[in-house]
Amino acid sequence: MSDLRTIKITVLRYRPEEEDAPTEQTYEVEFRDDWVVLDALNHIKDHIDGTLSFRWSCRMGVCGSCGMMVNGEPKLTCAAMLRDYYPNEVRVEPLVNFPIVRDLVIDMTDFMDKLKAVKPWIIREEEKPVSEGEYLQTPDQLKDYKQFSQCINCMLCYAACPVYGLEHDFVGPAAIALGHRYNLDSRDEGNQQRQHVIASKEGIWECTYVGECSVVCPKHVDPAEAIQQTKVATTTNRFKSLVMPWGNKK
Amino acid sequence: MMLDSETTKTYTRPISKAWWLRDRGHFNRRYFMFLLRELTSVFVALYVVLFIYEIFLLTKGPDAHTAFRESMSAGPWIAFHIIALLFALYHSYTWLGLTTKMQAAGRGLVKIGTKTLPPILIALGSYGAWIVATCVIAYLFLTL
Repeated sequence: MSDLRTIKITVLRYRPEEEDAPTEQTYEVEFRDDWVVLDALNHIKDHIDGTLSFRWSCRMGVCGSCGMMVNGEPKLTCAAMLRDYYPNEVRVEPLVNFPIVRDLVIDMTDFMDKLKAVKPWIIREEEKPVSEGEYLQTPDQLKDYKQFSQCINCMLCYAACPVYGLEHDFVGPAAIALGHRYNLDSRDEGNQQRQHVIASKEGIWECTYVGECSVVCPKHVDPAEAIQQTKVATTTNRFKSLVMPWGNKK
Repeated sequence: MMLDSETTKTYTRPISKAWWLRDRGHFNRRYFMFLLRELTSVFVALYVVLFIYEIFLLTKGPDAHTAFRESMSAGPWIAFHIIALLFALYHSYTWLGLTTKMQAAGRGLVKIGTKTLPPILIALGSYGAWIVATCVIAYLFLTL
């Protein structure tokens, strides 16, 4: 165990029953070369301070639970190597732009409501009976939306988006990207049901293209791309419906 | 975790007015460049107001217009025009760069048959059209 080094981890703490505003607490953690920030937090909870609260689950960048601000940047803490920060101190805060429930745990209710509003599931006007088999799709049709389907709802993009921070009505990057994902799906017929949320003032038109959502996305979903594509598609469709009102398609 | 907002005491962190300069102790270059891009609109708008005023002066006769043109050769006005030009160039560059976002491989908006045109072609086409349009307008202004 000769490869142990010691790093300072400063954590933003908020204990609502004890204090009205968050405070900071610094821990010294011995870490091995392959430890990530989440390992350090688990070490603190198991061996130094059992009162520290944070969310985590899979430890492999799939569940999207462990998103936090690491030295000011939204990161999945399971993918943020401590050695990349050493010998400097690591500062861990809950994701910004969300209310803090306790320590590093944020209230994600607003995101969940917005996610639900874009109806991120396949909508059919009429379901065909199971006996008729699956809704088939070609590899090219899959390619149209596959990247946007990689979203793990980690909310890093919401923490990176200053528009969401300043205008809480904004539907936000991930929810729009997921709505767009289903709009692009050849099996889906729910485009119009999502339009009043996605193509609204609080939807794509609130986005001023800072682009930071795509920079921080750990799955390379590129929500900024989804939003810009939707802006063009919505404008084109509106123009078409004005010029050819008889040609409206679902 | 869904919370009952009536019974849960949460804490909402305030956002600094200078978030685009320094957010929680860190400078984010992209936030700064974004706000700079937003600021370009102010200079473009000021230039347009000046341009409309110049057109208005044309209706007042050649003397009024010549006097205006001469006043524009003062140092501060030249500085303003240089700054406005730089901001307009930056705004146009970022706006046209956005076209690549609509054209990511495999799901782009501009297709030939089932093939998506590479984003770089769309960007080069946009920048090319911009340069050609600028040259045509410059040629018309300088020769007519």
